[in-house]
Amino acid sequence: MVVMNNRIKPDFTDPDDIQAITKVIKGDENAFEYLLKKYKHHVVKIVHKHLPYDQVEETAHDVFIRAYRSLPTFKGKSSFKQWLSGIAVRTCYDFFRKKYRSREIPMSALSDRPQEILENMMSDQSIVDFNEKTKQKQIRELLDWALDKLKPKDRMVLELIYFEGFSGKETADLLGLSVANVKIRTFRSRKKLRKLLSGPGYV
Amino acid sequence: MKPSDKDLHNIENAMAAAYHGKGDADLSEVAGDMWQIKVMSHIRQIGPLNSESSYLELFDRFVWRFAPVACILIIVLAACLYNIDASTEYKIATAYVDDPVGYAFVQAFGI
Repeated sequence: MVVMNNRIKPDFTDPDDIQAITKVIKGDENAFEYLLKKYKHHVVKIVHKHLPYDQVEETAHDVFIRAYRSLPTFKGKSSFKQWLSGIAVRTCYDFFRKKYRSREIPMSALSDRPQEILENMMSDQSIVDFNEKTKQKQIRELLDWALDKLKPKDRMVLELIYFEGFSGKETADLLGLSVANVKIRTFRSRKKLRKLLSGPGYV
Repeated sequence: MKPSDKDLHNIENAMAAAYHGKGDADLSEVAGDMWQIKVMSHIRQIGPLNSESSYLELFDRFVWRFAPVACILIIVLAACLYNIDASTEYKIATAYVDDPVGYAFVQAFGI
């Protein structure tokens, strides 16, 4: 156990991390550089999974600023890495929320592309073998298009549970939802995704 | 052509594979030294956490903890106000407004 800021800390977190966190909380902002250096690739990896490449650096920047500001609320119940991952996921969710609020209504011509990809995929006999790069790119394009159609919360729930394999409880903790709400959203968003994939032209 | 259930299942599997494939991308050029310098200069701009954290902690500790109590209190007060019979007070107020001299006279003699 480590005592920090009058609170007893379980030793989940690396002692070097705790030392740096203590220094930052006591007012030494330069000590944050150690945490930034150590976890930047971890954060970039999480952000890149959810967001387009051109948004990764800016969002990762926001993640560390948020982490710095919230550092006094880090109670050490989980490791610092886990705590930071939660902030990264929530920052991605906020990105989608902002994007969803300011989205433009797509013109009908834009839905031709996913339709074309879907038809290509279905006409392809080797549909199970999707390891080729071009196919992967097309599928990713289709996935991004379909995910963009979902509400930000539904999108994050679907990504975390369906694609990343998080449990309902973990997802609920990350997004600040109840487990029941996560279950409902998973069901609803998967249904909507299937409806979208049934043919973009029909939605 | 509408996809069958099997097609949809295959497309979903392919999407999951593509999603995971994105994680294997080369990110060595992202978040380099320049990016790190930018983040640290932003943090130095924010300044030390000492003062900011104490205010935040106070806010977290007191305001939010009392929020549910305040909500319950508001509901109870609203229910009380709804149930209180204000007709007597209303009659007195009406009598006073209609005949302030007479009301003062009655009051003065305690009738």
